[in-house]
Amino acid sequence: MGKIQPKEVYEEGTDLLQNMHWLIGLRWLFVAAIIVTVLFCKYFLTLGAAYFQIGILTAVLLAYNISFAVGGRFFYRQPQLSSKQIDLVRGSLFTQITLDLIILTLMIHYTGGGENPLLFFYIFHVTIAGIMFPRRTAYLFSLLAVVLLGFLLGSEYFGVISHYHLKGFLPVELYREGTYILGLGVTLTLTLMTSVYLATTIMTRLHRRELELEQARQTLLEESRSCEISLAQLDRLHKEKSDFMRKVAHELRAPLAAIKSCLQVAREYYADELTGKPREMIERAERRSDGLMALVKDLLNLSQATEFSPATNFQPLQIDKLLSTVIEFCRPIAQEQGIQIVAQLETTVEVMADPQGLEEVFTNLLSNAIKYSPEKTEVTVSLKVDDERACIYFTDQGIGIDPEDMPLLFTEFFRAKNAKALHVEGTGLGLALSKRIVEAHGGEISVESTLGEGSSFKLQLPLKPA
Amino acid sequence: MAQAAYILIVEDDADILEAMRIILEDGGYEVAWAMDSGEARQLMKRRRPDLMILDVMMRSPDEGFQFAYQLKNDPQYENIPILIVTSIAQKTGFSFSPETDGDFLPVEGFIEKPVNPQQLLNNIKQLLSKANN
Repeated sequence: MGKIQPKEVYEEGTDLLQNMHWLIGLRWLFVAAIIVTVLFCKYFLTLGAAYFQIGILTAVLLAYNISFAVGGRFFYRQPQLSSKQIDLVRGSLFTQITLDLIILTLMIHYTGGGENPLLFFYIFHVTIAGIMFPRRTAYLFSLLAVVLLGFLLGSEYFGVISHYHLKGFLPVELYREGTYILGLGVTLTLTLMTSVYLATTIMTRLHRRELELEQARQTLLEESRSCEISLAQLDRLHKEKSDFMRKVAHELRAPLAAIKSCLQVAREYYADELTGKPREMIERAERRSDGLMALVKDLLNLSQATEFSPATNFQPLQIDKLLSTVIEFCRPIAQEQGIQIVAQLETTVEVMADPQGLEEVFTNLLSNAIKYSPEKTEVTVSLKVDDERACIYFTDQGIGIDPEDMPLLFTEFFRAKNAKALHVEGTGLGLALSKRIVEAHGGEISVESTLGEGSSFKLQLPLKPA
Repeated sequence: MAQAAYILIVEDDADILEAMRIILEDGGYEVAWAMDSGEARQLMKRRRPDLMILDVMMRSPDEGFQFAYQLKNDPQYENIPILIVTSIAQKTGFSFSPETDGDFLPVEGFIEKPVNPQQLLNNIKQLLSKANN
């Protein structure tokens, strides 16, 4: 709540000034209406009235409206009102409505008193007060109106002041009819009080809504600010994470390379001394260090792909050629497992790409297809152009992907349950890395699969602009 | 070859060094080793090696490169073939391939760790026969 106070003061100032502007504008209208009505009554209806006094009252009304209008200009120019200036404006509004009530009472007095329906204009004044001021002040104005009215009707009734009859308007004079005057007074008092009640109730509700809106706005602002901060923090964390990952990977690489080198030398150069169980144990250790090397390599690649900035390394690349190279590279492994690679690369397709990045992706997808396929099956690599995009499919007749695993398939370190169950080496980084590289090329990677029947990975890459 | 070629390994990883020493000695070479470039210079003064194997990252991340530059700009040693051994593959910001980089460090070969014995021996054989011609 504390935070929105300054705004409220500012709005209060603006509100008050708007009200003053509106009130002064209304008064111009009234002055014009009075002049028109007087002329109409005097020359058209030829009513007999105290035109001189009415003229003076109109002049007074005009005079103070001019002075308030001129004085108001000073406040309109202020960019923001100080609390002292706000008090001044509020005081001026207070004075204006009081003067209006007095002028109205005098006007009624000189135009027939209780006999003139002009009496109902009091409703306008108290309604305006109800709109501009808090409930208590508004009731004070209605009380003032009632007092002025009572004083007028009472004084005329008791003959304290003279009664000005509107000749030609009413055939009889009513100011001495006690029941009529009393009835008029009571009705008008109730009407004025009700008007104030209604006006202030509406205003209170409106004000409450405004406050709620303002609070909601502030809350939204604060939330969006904190969202921005969290986003920046996330960004930083992400960068730190990939920096850390890269450092760790580099640090891991050197000792791993040493382990692997030593194991290999032990196995190859001491074959005579190394037989039976010791040899098997060395081979196990070597296999595990190979797996670890692959993981570290993927980690390094992944952290690099995170900062992979497109276009820096991009060059025109013939996809069908690169695919052939990758297929030839993978063919020996496939043959070892009794798997046949079918290549459907009839079209020549050029894209803008980082050759190393795409080679990594193709190798990943093809070796996955081989890894997770049973013997005597086929792996198909096909290339098509569809809707300005190069579409590359890697289709296998392998173990397939459980629909449950689909949402996590491209996340780091994820490995499907059936993939782990196969006891094939895998780091769980290949697909995450591929996705990043493909997306950095403005492409997409997607997969369709039936568990137990096979999978088809689809890559889409934008063609090289002609 | 009347006499076995003399190879100097400059490598600060004792385990890799030991693995390479075994591979090379088994391959019939005479091997000396140093843990940093200063030590290597001492050994080179005593006997000029026929080939050198340099690790890139020693005390500083590019000590191997620095040392290779110095040797290649020294008329006394510029003809010694150098084989760089590194555990950081591509994408490090260093130039690794003569085809992709014109401003290439003029060493004779690169080999990635972990050291594959056959690959290492093949590389050395090639470099030595080139140097002798």
